[in-house]
Amino acid sequence: MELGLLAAGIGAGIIAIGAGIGIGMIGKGAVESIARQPEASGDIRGAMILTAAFIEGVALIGAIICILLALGVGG
Amino acid sequence: MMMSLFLAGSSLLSFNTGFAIWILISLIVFLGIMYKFALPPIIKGIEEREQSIQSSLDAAEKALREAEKISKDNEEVVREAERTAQSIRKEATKEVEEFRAERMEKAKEEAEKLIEDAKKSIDQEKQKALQELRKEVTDLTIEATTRLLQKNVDSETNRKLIDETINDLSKN
Amino acid sequence: MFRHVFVSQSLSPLKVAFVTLLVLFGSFGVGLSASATGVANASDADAAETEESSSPIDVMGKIADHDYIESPFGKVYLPRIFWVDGQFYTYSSTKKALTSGDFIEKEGVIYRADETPITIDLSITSHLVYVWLGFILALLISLWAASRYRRGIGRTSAPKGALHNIYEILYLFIRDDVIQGYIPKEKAPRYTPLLFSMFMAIAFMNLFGLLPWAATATADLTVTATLAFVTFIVTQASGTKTYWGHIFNFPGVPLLVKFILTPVEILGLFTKPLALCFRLFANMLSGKIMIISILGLIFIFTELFGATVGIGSSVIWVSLTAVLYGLKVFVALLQAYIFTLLSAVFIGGALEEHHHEEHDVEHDDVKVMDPINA
Repeated sequence: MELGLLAAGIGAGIIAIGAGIGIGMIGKGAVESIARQPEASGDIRGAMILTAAFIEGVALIGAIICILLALGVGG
Repeated sequence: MMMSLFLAGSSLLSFNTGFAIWILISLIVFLGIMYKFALPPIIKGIEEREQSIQSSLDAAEKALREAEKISKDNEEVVREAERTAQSIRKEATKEVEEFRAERMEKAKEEAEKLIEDAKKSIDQEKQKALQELRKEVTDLTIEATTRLLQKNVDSETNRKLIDETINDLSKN
Repeated sequence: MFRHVFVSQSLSPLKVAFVTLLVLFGSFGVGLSASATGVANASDADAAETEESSSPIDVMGKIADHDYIESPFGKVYLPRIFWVDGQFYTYSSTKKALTSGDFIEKEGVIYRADETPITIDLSITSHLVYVWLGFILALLISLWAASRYRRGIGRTSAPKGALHNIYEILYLFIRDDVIQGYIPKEKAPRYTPLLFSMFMAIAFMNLFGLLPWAATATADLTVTATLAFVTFIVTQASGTKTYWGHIFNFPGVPLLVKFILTPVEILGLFTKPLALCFRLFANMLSGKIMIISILGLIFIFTELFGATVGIGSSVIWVSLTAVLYGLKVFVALLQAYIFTLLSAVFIGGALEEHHHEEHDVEHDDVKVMDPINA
């Protein structure tokens, strides 16, 4: 149980790093694209939110696994 | 103590078949009502409005294009009229110019002719007058001479002589 | 920002809103503590009622499915319907089922008196109630809008009123940006009602989770899995020859690669809706857990450091929750949008038809974003 909590904590941290890098890169790309082409900002914003949601989905799946670990469901 | 926060977690990822059946049934009923009663009027209504907006937009565009065409036609007509007026004016000016020149020419000619005539008649009158004068002078001279030399001089010979003299005179 | 609002006297509407939120969350907290004491109740079939009933809050109890719905006036127990070995049993509540003697409870699981496990538990649960509420609200609003369109408002004139306008904006957004953007235009009208209905239902289910006492139906894996299952079925049903060809007989690759590619493609068939269902589930669940946990910190602090610290620190937690609530409203709508969008992407991908020789060229600019690799 203790190890499960430890694993969940470390896992959550790694998820945060991964999702942070991913969303940061999306934000970077989106801002650069908007700066280059301000007239396409609407489309870019839509694509940005969509991609961020994908990353968020993956991160949340990881988060759920962390919760399961913390609960000791995996044994 | 924190552990107690996550106690019932084992049910978190469980799949409940009975629940799923309920949801599926409700979803089918929901979709059925949506398909049958709720959405068709909405879809049709929005489409109708879109079409009417589109058609009115098209009509407006058409009207605009027509108005543009009419105004262009009008402009063309105005320009044509202007062009015609211009040419008419030009022609008129030209004609007037020609007419004036012609009249000037004619007047000049007439004037010259008049002057010529006048000169001619003056000359004639002058000649006539001279002739008359000469004749008068001759007659007067003859008479005078005759009166003076009635006896000794043959009038015929004298007349000849005097005429010669007068002729010489007039020549000088 | 919130401190400013709290101190300032001039911003009266904001202040009123803040106080309202405070009261709302305060009552939420009361509900929480009430449920914490209720956890020990033996009639709770699903909730954790064993070990530590002294716990100040019960996060999972808030999230898990129950045999009752919470209301400001107390719990309302829901009927239980069991199907055991081809026989139906219906009771108005769990207590009735247990007192009737036909069913017994063992370690939180209900068995028939002869200890045969329940085949299918068709009980009406709290999440099912909120699924229904989501459906009913979506239906009511749609029927209301339909009656307006039938009367000519919106058909011949512009829509009137905020609700009608919002409804139409949502419909046009889903139809033009989501569906027609990913499904070929000539086939899009066939899927518009389905996807729009799904969007409305999911959005309302998500938004219901924002109410205190209410449960988030979409924070239940069964609900999202069923919704994703519908998308899966529709996707496969509308699959073209090209689509199936790409799964079982990928064009333009050697035979040996096909042996590897086909299982991968078949796996992809199932991972797509699985990711769809997990994404919605995890997003809604995490939002719920976060808010309950942060509000629960008030009670944890009270237990650890005394009532003064607990109540004093509640200003921080409540304002944090208020911010999170704003985020949750956005996420609720965003996730409904993403679910609809991905459904449209999958269906559009299945509907795609192009010639094999053009495949390599076209595959680069196909609008399908693979959520698995994303």
